[in-house]
Amino acid sequence: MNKVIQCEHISKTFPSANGDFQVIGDISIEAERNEILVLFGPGQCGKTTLLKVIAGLEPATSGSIRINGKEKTKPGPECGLVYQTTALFPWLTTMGNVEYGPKVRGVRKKERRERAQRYIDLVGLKGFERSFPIQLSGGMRQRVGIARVYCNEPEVMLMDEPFGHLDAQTRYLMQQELERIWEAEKRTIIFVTNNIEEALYLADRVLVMTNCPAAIKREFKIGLPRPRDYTDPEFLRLRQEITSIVDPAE
Amino acid sequence: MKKKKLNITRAAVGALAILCFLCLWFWATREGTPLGRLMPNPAQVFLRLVETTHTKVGPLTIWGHMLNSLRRVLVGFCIASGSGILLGLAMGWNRTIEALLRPIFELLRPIPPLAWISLAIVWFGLGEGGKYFIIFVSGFSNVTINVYTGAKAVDPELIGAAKMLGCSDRRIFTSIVIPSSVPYIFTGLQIAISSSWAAVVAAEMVRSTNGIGWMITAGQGIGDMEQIMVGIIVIGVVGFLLSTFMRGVESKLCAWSRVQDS
Repeated sequence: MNKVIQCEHISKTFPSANGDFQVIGDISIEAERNEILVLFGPGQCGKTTLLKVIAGLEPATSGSIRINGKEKTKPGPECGLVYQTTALFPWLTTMGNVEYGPKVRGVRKKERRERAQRYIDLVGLKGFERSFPIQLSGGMRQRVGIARVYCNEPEVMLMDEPFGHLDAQTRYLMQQELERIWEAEKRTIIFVTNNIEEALYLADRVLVMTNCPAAIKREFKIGLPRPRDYTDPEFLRLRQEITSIVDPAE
Repeated sequence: MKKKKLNITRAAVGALAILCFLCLWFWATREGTPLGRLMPNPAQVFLRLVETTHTKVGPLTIWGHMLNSLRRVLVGFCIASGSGILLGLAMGWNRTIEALLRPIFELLRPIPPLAWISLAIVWFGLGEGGKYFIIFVSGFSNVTINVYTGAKAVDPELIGAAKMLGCSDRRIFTSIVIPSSVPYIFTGLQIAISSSWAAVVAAEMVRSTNGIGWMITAGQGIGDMEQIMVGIIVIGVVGFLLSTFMRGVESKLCAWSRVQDS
């Protein structure tokens, strides 16, 4: 089995004035190479915290994270994170943002420019290389965010509700775009969402999470052929089934 | 296109307001009024201004005085900006430096620049050194406090994003903290250039043999109202040009932080 990422018995507790507050129970997940794994759960259930722990931005209270067998303790380029807020560098252009990772890691200018251009083209932003984030629409900014992570060639791409701030139309479009990009260049993706359609459209596997403290309630393997049809009977049946078992948001 | 039209309208309104002000000035200083005996009218001041461009006032023409004042401002302002930016960034980035220097800085900050004049004379004498010092003091804390605020206000999410892309801790400072502080740096420089210009005049009024400030004091000494008015107007115009220039540089360098209307 080709496991890119293995998280074992992760828990996370935040100390607070009225005692400790456990956000993540005891979670073990692993993902195979080039798999899209979706963490689906109610709002505020600790999905984002879990992603931050995997990214190394928050230390886990217990448990271990290994990437290709190597223990991970701090943030680094082996994981790439696409933020809900995009977190683009506002003083850099599209090109500047996309080439940032290779640049700070010492890739030569000519090589990183070529690589960045390839991903800018791949996400459909040809012609916007010299635009600043403030000049781009929400959907375009998130395309930059995806290209920036792609260009840094991480082992695992983490996506934290990347389309959560977009309007419904753009959101559908971006789901289809992400799948197109992934089909063109496959990567291992752990994708967090609270939108069931998004989960089913993208996932190879959906992990349904419980309310806080987060734990995995059930796993669904989604074998539907891609690109998927939001109105396919099997799609709708799965949607019905998963919706019926998910906890109401607190 | 629409924007251009708006700018023209705005400029026209501004010109009209200045014209009204000049008319009021003419009217108030007309012959026979009490003010008319004390104040020259705008035409007299204007003619005198033209005259000073080729006739010397004391040792120099108006251009010479202006250049001397500008040189003093430039020297003091550059030292103030350089050290203010360094100190501000250092205090914003390093907690030890912050804990060490912030209290001293906060104690010195509220002291008005003019309060330093006597000390400046004692320390640096009546020559150029004292003037540079006064100008330095008036710009320094404005730059420092703004840069410090900027370095503190860096979005931690951007630092996290940079780290995840493989950025080293030291590189975070140059590639994230400094660029995201640039708009704050410019706010500081903008205030500093105006207050430096104001301070040069004060410094020259204390003791000097040239400069715009000297022109005014000298005018006062010989009771020449026209010379005083010419000095005041030049101060106003140069101060305006300096801050316009700074804004121009800022809008070039900080284009990314402004909403574009395209």
